[in-house]
Amino acid sequence: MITHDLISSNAAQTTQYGIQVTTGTMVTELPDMPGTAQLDTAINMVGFGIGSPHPDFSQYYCTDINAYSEGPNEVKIVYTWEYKFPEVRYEINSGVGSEQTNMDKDGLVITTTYTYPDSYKEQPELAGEEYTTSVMVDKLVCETTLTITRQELVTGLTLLAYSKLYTGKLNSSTWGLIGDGPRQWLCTGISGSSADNGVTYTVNYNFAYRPDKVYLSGTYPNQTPQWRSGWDKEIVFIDPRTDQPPEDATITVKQIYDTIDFNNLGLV
Amino acid sequence: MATLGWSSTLTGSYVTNIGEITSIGFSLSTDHADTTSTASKYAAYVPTTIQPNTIFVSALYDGSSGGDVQQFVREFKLKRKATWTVTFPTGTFRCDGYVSTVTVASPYDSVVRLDLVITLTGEPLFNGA
Repeated sequence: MITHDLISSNAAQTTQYGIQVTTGTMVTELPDMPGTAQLDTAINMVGFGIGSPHPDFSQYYCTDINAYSEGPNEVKIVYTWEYKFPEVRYEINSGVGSEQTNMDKDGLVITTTYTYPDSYKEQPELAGEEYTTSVMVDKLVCETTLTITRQELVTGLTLLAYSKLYTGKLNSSTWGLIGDGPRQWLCTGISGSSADNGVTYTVNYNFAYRPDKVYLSGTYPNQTPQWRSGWDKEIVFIDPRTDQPPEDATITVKQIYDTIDFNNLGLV
Repeated sequence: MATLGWSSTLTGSYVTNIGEITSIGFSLSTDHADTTSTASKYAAYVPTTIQPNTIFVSALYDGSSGGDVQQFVREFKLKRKATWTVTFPTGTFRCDGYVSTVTVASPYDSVVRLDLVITLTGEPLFNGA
């Protein structure tokens, strides 16, 4: 027979780190057997193990099990359950990436104009002609990075699933410490390690931020400014003769990264 | 009809001829585990370990140099485990134990009285109970 929540053992302690609760369970009418085997049998009969969630409060997990012989066929088990206050650390850094573009900061196509001299003989038909072309330039892209670290009651398999699901995706809706708009944050990795035999994991969530950028949509010269995600890519035709895009080439913007709602991670 | 204990006797492994017994008996009890839970307003217990407790004896000193007092004081000092048997009119009680208390009272104008307690250990055996 199993009796839970013994008044003689129920206790709770709150500290700055969390809440610790102890509960007692009495197992009686056990069969005659050597003492250690009886303790083990009683623990198995109740069924809670290290890491088990509390039956009534799933955010509490079992950290200690102590069994005592109370009689020849009676065993008292005292369980310690812990709920740790979420300890979240934010680490903000910045990094630099690079990309190629033929647009300036305002989304205007960068062009250069050249007038061939009248004496130009290599291609006489160009002599005296004005030639305008766009040019591709290297651009450093400064990214703000955010690492959020917290301890979680999660299994390794669940953590693995999180990492596979979120890594390499952008936020689909407003997210971030200051409520940044969709598709501005890229999840660059979710990792974790356990120091308590897999009961809890210290999980690192890594993100990189790029602000939205302006570009001109439509057909040259009837273009209108549009905003796009800083993570999208501009596609422009490159003239194989000049290795540069023509000045009137239409710029197409493509979304490279899939999106997912980061709010489901419950981080901010 | 109630049974008088006047024929009851006590013998031990190393103690014999205990005469002039005026009272003899034993007590048993059991420990219990507290199973009171938050699910009830009432206390709850289950019996656990049986305590053989004690044999208690009152006897009168027979005045001899090797009599009751000397025998029990000797056992008390030796702290020697012995098997003790109480024979009642209708049965016997037997258990191992140690002499744990010896009390001698010598009233000025009455008989010398011996009270002793034997603390029991292990499983008691009943015959006829």
